[in-house]
Amino acid sequence: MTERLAWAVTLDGDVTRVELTGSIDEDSGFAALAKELSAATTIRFDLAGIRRINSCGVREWVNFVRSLTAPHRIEIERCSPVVVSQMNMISNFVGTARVLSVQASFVCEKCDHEESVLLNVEKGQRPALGVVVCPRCGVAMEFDDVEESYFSFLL
Amino acid sequence: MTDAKDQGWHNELMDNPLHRPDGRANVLLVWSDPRERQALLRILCASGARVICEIPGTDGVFSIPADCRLVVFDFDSLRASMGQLMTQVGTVKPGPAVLVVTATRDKSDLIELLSQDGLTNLVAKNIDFDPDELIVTVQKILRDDIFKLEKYLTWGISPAEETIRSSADKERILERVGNYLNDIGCNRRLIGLAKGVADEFIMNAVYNAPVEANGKPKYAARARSEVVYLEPGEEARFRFASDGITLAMSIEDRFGRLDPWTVTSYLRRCFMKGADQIDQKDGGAGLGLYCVFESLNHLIINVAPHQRTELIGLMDISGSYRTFAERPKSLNIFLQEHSG
Repeated sequence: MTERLAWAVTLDGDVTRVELTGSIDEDSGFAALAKELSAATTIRFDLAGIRRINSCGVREWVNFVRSLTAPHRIEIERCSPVVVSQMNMISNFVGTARVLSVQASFVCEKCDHEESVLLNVEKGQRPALGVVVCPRCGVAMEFDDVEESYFSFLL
Repeated sequence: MTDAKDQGWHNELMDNPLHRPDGRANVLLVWSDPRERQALLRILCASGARVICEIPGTDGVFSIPADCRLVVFDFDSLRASMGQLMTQVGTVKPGPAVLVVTATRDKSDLIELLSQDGLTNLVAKNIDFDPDELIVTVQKILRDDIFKLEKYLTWGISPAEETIRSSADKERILERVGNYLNDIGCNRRLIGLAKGVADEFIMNAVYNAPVEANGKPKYAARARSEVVYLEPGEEARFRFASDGITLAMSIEDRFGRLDPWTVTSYLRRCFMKGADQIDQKDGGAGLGLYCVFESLNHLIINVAPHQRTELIGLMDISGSYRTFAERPKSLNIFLQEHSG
């Protein structure tokens, strides 16, 4: 099953919403999307559906997002863990964009069930994780990463 | 050189009774904590080496024994002596391999270690030493027998194997790896990481490894979106296997182009996150090794120069992503001294 990058662009008032899904890799040409967004002012990327980014994809994405300069205002929401990893590994991965929210993975240590929880984030602050209860066995789930490193892109 | 009162271990030859007398290799163990030193001594002796213990004196000078093949160094307690050790190692011909053991997960420590000329072996220390990892590492150095994924697998496990003839083979192989891990109940994020490692392994073998007869890279400058079909003799071999605890993957090519300096300098540049972190030149982004290293618990690079390269990646898939992420990382770069 191929996981090629796909996008859907919708208008929500003044905000142009771009939902990206699949893998960002060497075949992810962003030129067509950049053209489609040329008249937009506020662009909000939804990255919940990004499953994989390889090293060539990092370069494609970074060059694309860095090309979206003023008057564009860029926001990024619902970043998948894959995107968060890249934000932590790659300098300036989101350019001038403001990151609004990220997904956080939780795992049940009793039954291995995995859940994803959306967390709103602010630059300079590590978000509170709260308590997530396993829908299968009712016990508190564990955050499935190292807090200090997962949220290091905010600090 | 050392504190002679330190329980009489100073410069004693620790003979392994199972292996005497013969032409055993000398291993210098530079370690401060006595209990850990004893544990390491047992492991190293089990590998058949003659182990000589040492800690640097206040002058920071080491006694590197004659015919020393390997120095095992305690980075966490003796990091101030690291530079002096590497300088002294550089003056010994032929120089011994240096194996640094550390529990660090700190990126600045990794940058410091990757800046040391000649350092090619970094072994992670968890709560205890992993004797299997240490013995395999030491044996590979001492025996100059460095290739084969099987060295890291439990006996009896046969790896699955794929021949790569084109960059177009990648998606099929990633799907196979993903399906396998899904079938054995691996954590979803770890499946994504494993597929990412396989992706970078395959891209490296197809685009970066092959060279012309004159040694010039053949496909390295090609756009990675351009499908490359390898010529007969240029094919790569991808293998993977798991014992349910560790996932092991390898890629092997017949070119032997990677050299330790390239590996460490690429990794160092990426960890420093400067303006040059991403290559904008034709070809790859220069991030492949970094992405691979960050997605593994252990990266092993075996090279017979101009003949063969084997990259091996090991991941702990026994539990959650967090279990994987909390473990420190190991990096080994082995150069085969004698062509085999």
